[in-house]
Amino acid sequence: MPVILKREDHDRWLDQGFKQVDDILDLLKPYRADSMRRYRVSLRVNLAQNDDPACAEEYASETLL
Amino acid sequence: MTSFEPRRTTRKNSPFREIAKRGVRRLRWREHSVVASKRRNHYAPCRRNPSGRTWCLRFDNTPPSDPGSWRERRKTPTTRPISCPADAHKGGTALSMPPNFYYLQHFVTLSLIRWGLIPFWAKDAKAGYKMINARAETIAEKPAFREPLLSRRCLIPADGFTSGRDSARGNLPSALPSRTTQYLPLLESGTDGGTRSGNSSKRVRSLRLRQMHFFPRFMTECR
Repeated sequence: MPVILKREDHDRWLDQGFKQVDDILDLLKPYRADSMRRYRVSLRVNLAQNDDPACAEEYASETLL
Repeated sequence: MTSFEPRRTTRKNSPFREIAKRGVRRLRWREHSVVASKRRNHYAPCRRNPSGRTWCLRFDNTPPSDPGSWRERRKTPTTRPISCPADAHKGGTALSMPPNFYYLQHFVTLSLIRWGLIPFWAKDAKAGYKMINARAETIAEKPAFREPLLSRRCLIPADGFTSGRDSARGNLPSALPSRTTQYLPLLESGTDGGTRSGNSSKRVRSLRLRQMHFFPRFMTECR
């Protein structure tokens, strides 16, 4: 899970004078998973060559009927 | 009585229609790749597509219906620049230097950077390919990340990300877009004086996020 900063923390994170290691580490908390939506995407995404929005679309199985 | 009637297939829901559509798409892709390898910057009329209208090759952000730009992207290195966001209310700078290289000092600016962190001991920028992720638990101790964590931080806008899981069929990815657009906080990397053997006047900033390659849209959405 990547760290996703809260909006109110953006300013502190970008502030170059903010150098307290403990305080910085306090910002690095995992994002709450329940506020996201998770879905399968196609295996195409594993290839870096496939670089298009279709990679982010929800994956439907290949069967027709 | 009606239950014995076969299900009516209209033209719209016919499975053949689906097959036909797929067939066409596959054909077009193959045809396109031939075209793209021959002509780079022009749309190419050819036997199956005499008008040549749909095969326009260009570099801009990918409209999904245009395979031409996908093809063009394949030729760009995997570490192509991504954008690094700014907070608009702080006011961007009006620097006219190439966005890859301009330096963030007192301003919060938006620029294009590459993914990956080049540690200070690296001999060339290729080391940035290896350092693409940091763990929050160890980031303060690892020598490569210690100093950038204190002095060079940036935010990166993202619509979502994928996380894979191993399976018999390989890595099964799944995307996790958050409900609102969120920012991933990331270290702005790079070496101030260039790498040891490299050109010291050229500042290299390298960030790389492989998982985000499929979200080119966020590049246009941030200012």
